[in-house]
Amino acid sequence: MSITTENNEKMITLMSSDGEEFVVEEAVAAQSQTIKHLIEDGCSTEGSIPLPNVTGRVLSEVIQYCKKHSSSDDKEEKELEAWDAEFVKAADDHVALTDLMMAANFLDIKGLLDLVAQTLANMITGKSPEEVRRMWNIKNDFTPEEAEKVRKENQWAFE
Amino acid sequence: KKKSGIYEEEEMGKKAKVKEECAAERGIANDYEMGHQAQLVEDLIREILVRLPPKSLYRFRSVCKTWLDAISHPDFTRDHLSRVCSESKDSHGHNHICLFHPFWRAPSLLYEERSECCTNLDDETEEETIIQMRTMPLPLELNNEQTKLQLSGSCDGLVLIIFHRPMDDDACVIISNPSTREFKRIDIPLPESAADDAWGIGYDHLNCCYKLVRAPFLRDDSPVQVFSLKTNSWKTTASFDDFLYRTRCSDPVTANRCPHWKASYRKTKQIHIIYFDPSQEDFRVVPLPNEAKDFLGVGHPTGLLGTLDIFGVGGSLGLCLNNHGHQVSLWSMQEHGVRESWVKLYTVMSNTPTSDLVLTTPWCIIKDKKILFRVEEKNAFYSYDVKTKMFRKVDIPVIRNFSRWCSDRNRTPYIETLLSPHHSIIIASINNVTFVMPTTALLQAHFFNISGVFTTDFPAKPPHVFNYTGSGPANLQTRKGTKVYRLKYNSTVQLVLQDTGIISPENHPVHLHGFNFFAVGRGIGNCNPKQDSKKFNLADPKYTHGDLKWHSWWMMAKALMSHFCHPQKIFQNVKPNTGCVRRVTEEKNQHIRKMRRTRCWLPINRTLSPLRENIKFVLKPFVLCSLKIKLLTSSIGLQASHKGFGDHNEVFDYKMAHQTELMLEDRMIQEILVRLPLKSIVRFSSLSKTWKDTINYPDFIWSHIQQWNAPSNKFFFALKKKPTECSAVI
Repeated sequence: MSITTENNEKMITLMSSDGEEFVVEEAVAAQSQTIKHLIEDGCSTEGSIPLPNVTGRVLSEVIQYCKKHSSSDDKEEKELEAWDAEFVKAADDHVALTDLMMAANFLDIKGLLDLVAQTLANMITGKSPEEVRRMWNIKNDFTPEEAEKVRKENQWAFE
Repeated sequence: KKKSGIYEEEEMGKKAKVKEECAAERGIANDYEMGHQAQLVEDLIREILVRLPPKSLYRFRSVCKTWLDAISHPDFTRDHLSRVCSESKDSHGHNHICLFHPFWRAPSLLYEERSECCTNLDDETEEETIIQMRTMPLPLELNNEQTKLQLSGSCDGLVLIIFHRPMDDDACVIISNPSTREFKRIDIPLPESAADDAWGIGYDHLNCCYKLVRAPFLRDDSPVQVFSLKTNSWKTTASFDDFLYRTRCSDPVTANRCPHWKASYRKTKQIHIIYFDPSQEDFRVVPLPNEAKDFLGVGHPTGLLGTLDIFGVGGSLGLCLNNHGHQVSLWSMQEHGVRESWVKLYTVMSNTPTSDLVLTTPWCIIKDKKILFRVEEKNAFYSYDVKTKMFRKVDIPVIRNFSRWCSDRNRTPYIETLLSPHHSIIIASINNVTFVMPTTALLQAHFFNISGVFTTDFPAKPPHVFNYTGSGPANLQTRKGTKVYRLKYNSTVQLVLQDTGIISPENHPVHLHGFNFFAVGRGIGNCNPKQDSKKFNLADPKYTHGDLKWHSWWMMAKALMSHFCHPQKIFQNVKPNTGCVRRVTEEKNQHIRKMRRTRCWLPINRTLSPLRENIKFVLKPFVLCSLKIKLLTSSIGLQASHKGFGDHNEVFDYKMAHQTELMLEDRMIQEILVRLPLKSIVRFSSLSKTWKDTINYPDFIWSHIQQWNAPSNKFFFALKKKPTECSAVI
């Protein structure tokens, strides 16, 4: 379903996995390569674009990011950087960030993926493997001997 | 929220509270109840990992197998490197400094450790900035103060160290990666005055390898020497532009992956910036901006307006025009070798409200914001903030008392990469010797007494003894040569074949060319001549010309040498990885892939060839064999029988196959098939179309290879051995 606003800006409706609908300008939605391709293929004319992998809460954040980055093309880079920093700070929870990253990956938004990946990387830099395992619920699939071996090889990194 | 709550309290402390509020605000509390935990998709793990510093990566190897595999993959090192390079280019800076420890007796490398999470120099609150250094001991002996030790630049995180002890003319080069704490020692063929020559490290784009260059700028008689980390060998090049240039303080700057020096042209004494191109292996001159003209000294070291020097700006060449210490303008060459691409980055004035310093060439630019200077007369380090135009004192606690000692040749900026200095390819070798095929036949040379074809210094014992089944040494120092071991006619020879298994345990078929031997004993682990000889079967040993199964073992063979044959020839048919010197590098993997494609590997590895056209080739002989075999597939409780078999219109028991498919889903078929040996697979390819398609599907081959490599690894671990090194003892 495409609505044309007064500014002659084409509007796109995006539907999240939990049925929430978001109406955004085409330019904003096109920040996502996935949506851009869907639009080019003519999916937007028949109604809302369903995004089965993204929940409404995450999608709202993604749209927030896309809006900022589509509107501030000419603005100073530094301002945008500061905004980005605030943006990830607001989501300063690895669970929320992981969801955001998966959404960015699915929607193919390079800037957002880069931003979130860097934030997560900074978050885990100083952490121990045990902490990282807890963060993402990673199963320790080493046998005790293997674990000992791997750890011994890289002992200096634990100092 | 309980679980992550506890975790956050531990980790984030104060932040947890704020976060909870945040979460409440966003109304996400419901989503993250106990059950909902963050899960990472594999693609995304990589995205995060490439952004981490090496130390964290090394620690996270023990998170889980998926992470270990992701980090250990050679492609990951490359991606990590390109990421770090682009980052340092964007920010104009190296972010780390490497220094020498000034304690003579225990030489060690000091390297800056970025306190993980934030950069040291970003801290605005303290009055002094403190750079914490970590030490890495070096395997060198310095027994007097005459010993020369210097850092000669870095390339992609590899730091070059020159060591020279004039007393006993002991000299070597050490290539180290402080980020991964690895180093490699390289001996220098002509040790005299090694420390006086100009050294540099660079990357050869054509051959994809790192090269060291030793340029005797001050001596006319010596050639230019180049060492390639790929081939592990020295080479002499004469193309040093007829020694037109001289340089004294030859502190190299690595930019665009080439070492650069400031040198003076012999005739006019004019200053030039020259660089060594590792790909072409020659020296070239860098064009300078017009503004630099007044700084070029003609006839004397200083120009009209001041001095000119070079430094590294995040991978590109930086030029420092120093106006007698009062004002320094810093330039960067955006496109290497293009005069027009010089861009002025900053101008630093020494007369700021806070300080009055005599400026020198900056040590490095740190993260686009700070420029690090060493001020001689104050004997201290200062960082200059580009934004606030202020100087701040920088303290490096470890060398506080030695800062006078920190001359230019004892420091180099570097970037943090995962690159290993052991950047060599796998070369098959026995007793550290790789056989070079001569153009004249060996027996012919022996018979006609032709000299220069071979040497008879093949080592009878391994020159470097180590725990063959444990983790091998970092560098086995493999040499190339046509070396033979001369034996007397009719002498009895005892051979010990010791397997190690650098990459994975393998069967090493041996064939003694033209002789039969007695296989008197074999065992697991390292061969112990004293202990194991007691267990030899001297009564009725196997008498054979070849043995196909010595797998992660050693084997003892005795042979009567009744005619001439050189040891390398004996092992001519040995699989290429017997007795190899290997390191895990990019090249290695390419090499292995190449080797895997060769036919001889297939039956041994019991895997199908990854190449489509080879499948037919491999299948054919087996398919023909299977005609005669009544298929008994006890392993999966199936029976299929052949009534006839011709071309592709196979006639076989469809009824049986049909029943099977009722029980087995396609997916299950594959699961079972990948676990079967090659012979059975080939047999089963005639079972049904589905089975045949499953087997012929290209992905199946790969999963089969993986499947068949895995169990042998497990076997190896059970033996508490590392698949690391291969060597044979003769």
